[in-house]
Amino acid sequence: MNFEATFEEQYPGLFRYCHRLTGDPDLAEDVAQETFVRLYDRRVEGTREGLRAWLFRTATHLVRDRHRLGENRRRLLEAHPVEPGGSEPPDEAVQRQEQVARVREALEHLSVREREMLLMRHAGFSYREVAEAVDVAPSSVGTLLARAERNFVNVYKPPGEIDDASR
Amino acid sequence: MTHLDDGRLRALMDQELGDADVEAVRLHLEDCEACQHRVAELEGRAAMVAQALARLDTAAPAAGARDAVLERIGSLPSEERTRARFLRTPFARAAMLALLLGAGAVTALPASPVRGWIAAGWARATSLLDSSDDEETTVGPAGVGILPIPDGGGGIQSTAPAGVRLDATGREISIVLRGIGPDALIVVRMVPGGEAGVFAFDPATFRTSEGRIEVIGAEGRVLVDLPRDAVAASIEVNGGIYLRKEGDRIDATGPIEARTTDEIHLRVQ
Repeated sequence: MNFEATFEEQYPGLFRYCHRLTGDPDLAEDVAQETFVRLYDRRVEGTREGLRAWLFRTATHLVRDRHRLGENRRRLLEAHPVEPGGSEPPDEAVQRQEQVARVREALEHLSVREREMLLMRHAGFSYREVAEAVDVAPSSVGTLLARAERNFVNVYKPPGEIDDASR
Repeated sequence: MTHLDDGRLRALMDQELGDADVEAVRLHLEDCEACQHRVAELEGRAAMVAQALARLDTAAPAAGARDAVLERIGSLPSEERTRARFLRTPFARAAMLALLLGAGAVTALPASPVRGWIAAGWARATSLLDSSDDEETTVGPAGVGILPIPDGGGGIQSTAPAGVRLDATGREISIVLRGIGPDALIVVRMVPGGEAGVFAFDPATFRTSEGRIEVIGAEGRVLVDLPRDAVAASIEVNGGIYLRKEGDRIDATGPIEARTTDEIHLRVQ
């Protein structure tokens, strides 16, 4: 395995997945880095797809374990504040923060496994890979994904709908 | 008319159906307006979810991530030192004692439901002994080699893994997996001691006899614990030899997907 090449190729996607899963960029960075340290330490070898699946499975389990330890319980329940910075006007920053909070609230209504499945699928993983990461039968992934999306949409209100309702 | 369930329609959208299934679903859709409407609904939801999730991408990886990872790697303790330190802890000793008692209970009560719990506990405890990070003793092997014990929450209709164990200390053991579904992942872990074990989800069935564990009809993921103290061992999958162990020598002849020092992942073709 070429560790450096794997890092360059997989780290951004792994970080994005961890960030979506935790809502906390610091925790996401920590988990993504720890995952790569384990990849090196355990001398994992495999195909490109095999390594990618291993990385995401490992990160998923690390996040799950940290939730169990309570490290992230409070942070997970709250939307991570978006830092208003750069040239973004304050109004837009607040609006963006509200949108993030709405998405995160909808995710919080899902079970841990539904959330993991949804995020893995939307990160481009196959049903087989998703099934292995969350330990369900591959044949049930379609049903569980459809259910997770329905549960998400039942709670989530996209910006347009909120604006219409407030008029 | 019987309508198609959401799972099949979602799998069609994701191009995850087999060829025969695709044909059957397409034929049905041609004549069924209700299911056509359902597909449109599912597509709309999936698009909305994708759009919503993209809103979460408010941060980029830190510029120094690569250096931070390399620094962490540089500060890793040597494997021998960590393992020796961990094995001296009271926790490790207590875990070993509990495992011995558990193994005794499994032998004494082969039909007891307690057997499954103890077996799951064994899997978790051995993963702790295998961990190279003794500061995180509650953290498992991070995604490989373990079938997590369901936490009871989440509303997912997955069943708990079942399994069997057999003492192979100083003996030869054959692990025979038959009727294993295509694409199943066989996770083989080298475990300390002499207990061999196999764990799988329903609809797998298990049989044991002298020096032999047989598993029939497993799907998804199968966990095999291969004891270091077994004189010889083999893993046969659907009639083909995937792995042989002679003393400390391991020959994996099956389709290897990933390999670590303590684990081998084999993908059933």
